Amino acid sequence: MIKCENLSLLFKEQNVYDDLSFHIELGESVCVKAASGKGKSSLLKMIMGLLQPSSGRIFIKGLELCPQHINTIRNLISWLPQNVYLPVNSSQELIDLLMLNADNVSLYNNCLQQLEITEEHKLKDFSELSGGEKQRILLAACISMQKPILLLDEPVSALDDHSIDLLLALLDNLKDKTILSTSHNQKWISHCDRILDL
Amino acid sequence: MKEIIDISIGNLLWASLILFLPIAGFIYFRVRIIKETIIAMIRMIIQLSLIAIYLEYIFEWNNAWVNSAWVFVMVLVGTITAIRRVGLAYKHFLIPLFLAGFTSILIIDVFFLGYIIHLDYVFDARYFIPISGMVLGNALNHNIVGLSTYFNHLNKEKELYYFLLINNNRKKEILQRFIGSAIKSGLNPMIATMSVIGLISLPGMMTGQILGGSSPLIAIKYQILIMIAIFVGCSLNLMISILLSNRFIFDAFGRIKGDIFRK
Repeated sequence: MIKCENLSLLFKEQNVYDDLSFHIELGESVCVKAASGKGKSSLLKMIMGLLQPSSGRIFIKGLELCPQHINTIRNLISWLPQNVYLPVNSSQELIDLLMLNADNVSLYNNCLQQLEITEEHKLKDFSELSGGEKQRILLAACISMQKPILLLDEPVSALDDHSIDLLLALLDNLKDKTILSTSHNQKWISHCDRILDL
Repeated sequence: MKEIIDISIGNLLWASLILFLPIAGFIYFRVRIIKETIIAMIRMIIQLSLIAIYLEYIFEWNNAWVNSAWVFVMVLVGTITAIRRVGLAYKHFLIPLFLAGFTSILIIDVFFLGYIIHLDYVFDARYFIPISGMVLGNALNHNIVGLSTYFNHLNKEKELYYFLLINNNRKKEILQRFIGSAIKSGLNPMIATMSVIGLISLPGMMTGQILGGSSPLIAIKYQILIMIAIFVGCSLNLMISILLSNRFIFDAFGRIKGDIFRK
């Protein structure tokens, strides 16, 4: 599903990584592990075409990441960014901006319920929500888009143990999702199928 | 009609002394725009004095090529000024903003001068140059506000833009949020001005025409026409500027280029 060949990334004339190759199968959940600042988020950004690798090639579902295929590839990807402090007024505005269809909205509401986000949270000003609440709302939005690949950048960084359990239970119910995540959280890492050590 | 009262150079100099009032305010509030204000004032005086001399010749020649070249220069200067004031990079914005200015003035001049006023000669300097100048002058101010809002907003809310780009992958629709607020902020002052015109403000063109001996009725008809022309010209200029700029500020992956602002 995701194949990276000989990826290199230079940042400020320093090698973040060099000649990185890996392959993630359909339905696999892989967690990228590395020290802070070692290019975990950058790897996700490269996979969705937000960052240009210095060299190497990326293939998503057999399509090479290039301008010709970027739209097809992005239609396969949902992304949870590390920074969940998005400048929107409410979670409803976020959903409006994502232009979810009726099916997606119904799934979004189910996900919110499973992640214990109440109607009260939904009505609150987005800036008044805690980091964990924002993260759960964004996760629900990402999942509800029903795309086959989930790129989750630090998905549990603001969640407590109970919320992590809820999220893991939710993800377990999803079939055939390929998940590439970054995390330092042991519970999350141990739940993944594989670790990709940078 | 009474003869128009001339203003002596001495009186003009006296009049400029009143600039000390806003400058005192800038000093009090520590606003660093004194140098820019003085430069703009000096430029305005020099430019208008030169224009008085140029226009004498231009009106006498009344040549389509010379008049068009004059308007071309106005569009170019307006483009460069807008780019500089917003702090954008010339390499990305010179072409789109120039084309936007040129297209909007072309539509306005063809429609208003050729179709509405029915000029036999649409390049007639007495109409072509002042009307183009008024539209372009106003468009400059509103473009600066609108473009500044658009690019600063986009740059500040980059994270949200990328989040939406990846997750809903509909760039055109995503940008509407940013374009909408830019158009609003660019045109709101003009809408406010239009709604109170005649009540708390008497527009310059109309006043000029009345002072020049025209009847108030003709002056008002021209003023209504020029207000419509200015509004349409400014709106078109801003919208086309944004749409054309969008073709230059994103790369093939939809990423915002890192060098859209001048360093």
